[in-house]
Amino acid sequence: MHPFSCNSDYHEVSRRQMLGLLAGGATAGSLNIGILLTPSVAADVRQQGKQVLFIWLDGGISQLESWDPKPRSEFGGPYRAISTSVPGVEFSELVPHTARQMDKLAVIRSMSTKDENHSTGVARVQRGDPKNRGVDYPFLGSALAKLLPPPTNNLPPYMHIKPGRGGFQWQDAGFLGARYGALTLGEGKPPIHIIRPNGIDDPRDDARNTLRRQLNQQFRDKHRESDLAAYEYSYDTAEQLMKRRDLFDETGVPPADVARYGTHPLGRHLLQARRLLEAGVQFVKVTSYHWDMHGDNFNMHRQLVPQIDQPFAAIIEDLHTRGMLDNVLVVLMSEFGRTPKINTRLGRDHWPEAWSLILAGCGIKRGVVVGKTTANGAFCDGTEYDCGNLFHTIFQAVGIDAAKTEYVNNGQPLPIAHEEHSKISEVLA
Amino acid sequence: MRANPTLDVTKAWEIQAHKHNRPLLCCAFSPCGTYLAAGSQDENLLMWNLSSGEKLTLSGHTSWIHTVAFHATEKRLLAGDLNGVLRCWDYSVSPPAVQWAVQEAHQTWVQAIIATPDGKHWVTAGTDGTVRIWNAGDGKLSGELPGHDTEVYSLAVHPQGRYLASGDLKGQIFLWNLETRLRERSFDAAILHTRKEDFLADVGGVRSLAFDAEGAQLAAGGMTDAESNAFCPGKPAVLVFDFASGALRRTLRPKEKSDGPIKGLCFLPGGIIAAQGEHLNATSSLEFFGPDKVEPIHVIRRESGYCLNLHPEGRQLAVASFVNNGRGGNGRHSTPAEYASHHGAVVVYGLYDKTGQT
Repeated sequence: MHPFSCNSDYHEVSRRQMLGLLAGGATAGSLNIGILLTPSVAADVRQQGKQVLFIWLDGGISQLESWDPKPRSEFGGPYRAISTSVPGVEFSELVPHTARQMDKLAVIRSMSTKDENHSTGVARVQRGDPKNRGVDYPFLGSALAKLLPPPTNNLPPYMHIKPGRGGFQWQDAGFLGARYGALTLGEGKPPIHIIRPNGIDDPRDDARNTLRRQLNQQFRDKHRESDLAAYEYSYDTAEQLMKRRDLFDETGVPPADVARYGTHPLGRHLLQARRLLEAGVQFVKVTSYHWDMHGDNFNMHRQLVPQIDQPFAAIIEDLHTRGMLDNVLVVLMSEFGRTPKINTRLGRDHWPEAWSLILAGCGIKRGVVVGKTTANGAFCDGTEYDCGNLFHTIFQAVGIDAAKTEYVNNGQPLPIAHEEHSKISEVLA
Repeated sequence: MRANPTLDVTKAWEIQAHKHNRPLLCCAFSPCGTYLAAGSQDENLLMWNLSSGEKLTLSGHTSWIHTVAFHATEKRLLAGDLNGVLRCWDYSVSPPAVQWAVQEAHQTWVQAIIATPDGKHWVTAGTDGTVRIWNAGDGKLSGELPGHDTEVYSLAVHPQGRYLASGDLKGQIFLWNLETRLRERSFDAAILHTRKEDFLADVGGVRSLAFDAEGAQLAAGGMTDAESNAFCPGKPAVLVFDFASGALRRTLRPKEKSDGPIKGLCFLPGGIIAAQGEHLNATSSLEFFGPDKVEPIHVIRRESGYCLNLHPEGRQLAVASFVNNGRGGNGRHSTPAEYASHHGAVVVYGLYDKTGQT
């Protein structure tokens, strides 16, 4: 069996679809699905429209200064709570824009993930923490690049917008292999050299790529499976992206949108994310660093939280008004929350015991709060959810039954989410 | 306290710790020296009668009380909270009563309050970037000092009463003429502000200001070289300016390791500077610097503190402080039933030899 094979129905669909595409030279949109595919397969194909926006606030936004305020309590901090568009649900006063979108959101306030370290917590949460099988599990974006039907738009299935440098983030893919890694856009900019030099015309470019593929094939014939597949994939991806420079051309972005999202990194990157989603990118991850407010937590949250509040509310509104929210799953989270106990530097430290995240869109109920914390905000009051529960829930929301779907790695079947955890039914539509 | 003991900060000793079950953020002695007030994270204004030991809890604020000041001549006490509210307490009556309140004195936090020496006004500073002047008697807005384009953290009034200094997040210190209400000049404390390319926020600022008794020096507390906007670790510093020329004369650095800004700052008699630091989940220090010196002449290792205030007789120093209540840092380290807030205290130090030997 191919080392990257998977027992997912989607890849069965993909192969059949790919054959159809090759035979007919048609795009998916032009296929007569009802004739070519069985009804159940046709339903699966419709799921190809599922997309994910995954927003990662690295370091840990404070739940008390955002989605689970406890004003005037022992650990509540100085900020007030405000009403949201859902009666009875309150957010911190620092997120007034998102509060107005609460009717489209689901908040989970009883995440309890136990790992209080960034070094292990980030990977654990983004890999979903399946039981140790001696392999590195893929990050969520890589997992879905594998498990969802391959996109037919020639765009990379997993793109990551982050501050700093870009490149190909193969490490995210874990045992799936490098080709399921993330194409990373440093500062939202396109990969370098995306613009073909003027001296290379189409025929010459085609000849270069043909030669490259021939050499790759010769190499592959004499060697076992290698990272070549990933290199080849990244070249092919770059080749396709060179035809989509419009994705990175900001001249057509309405100034009003820029104003609504904000000119800070998160504003620019979430606006770029919206454009990638509109273009059909399957999984868009947006990372923001420096949310680890051990010192001066309250001054820093006053400066930082509006930087997620404004563009997050804007993208939720935009996805809604464009009719995309039914197909796009939105996840907003960190690796943990922050300690209720306020430290010497008027900061909050790492707190995995009880924290909050937001889900919205595809497969998710709207306007609900799941779980609650104790009156002082310190602990979960009732059922706690770990990242395994979250992965089951995310998979379910995009149409993947984690109880029935497995990876196969070198012949070893592996669960796609923690076997002892289950989906969070209260949040699923 | 003995009458007029000789000031000797090297013999400083802890007279008393006025404890509270939450960290205390600000403190002030009354002009008569009988009362000590402090603002708490539990939204209460606390007032101790230093003669009787009685502790009063004055409630009514709805957020942390971040700044407090006594009126120069009247028995009035003004507290500002992080909801932008001012409450003026009349402590000539028992129990003290609210004389007036302003609900939106600032759009966000009231960061600093100071009483003018002539007793006519209060001046407040806020994170909304404004410096405002209020009539002392009725709390009516008397004026605004425009010009800061960012959060204003600190205020100090010149001992002769004519000038006011205000310090902000970007390290600007403006000098205002309180008679004309015009800005006359500025002091450059930009080194106390850091914004690196990858930061999401401005870090630091002029967190404290103090004039010496003669009005010849202006000191500004904060930290330099912030390494991130997350931990916000930096190098604590006090900048000492020559008031007349505006030139930076000295940069004082605590001897003990600390990583937060200097928020507790005051001049003692003889031009000695006291500076209190913050240190993340570790012991910090209260340090004393002699005139024209850059090395401390005495160091007291102690908990982090957020405000210093000198007793009117100049021989006692109060520190609004954090008090550790169990292990902090990442994770909970205790059962849910035992998990509780850290505590606080206003610790009063005697700045003289308690044995009477000097």
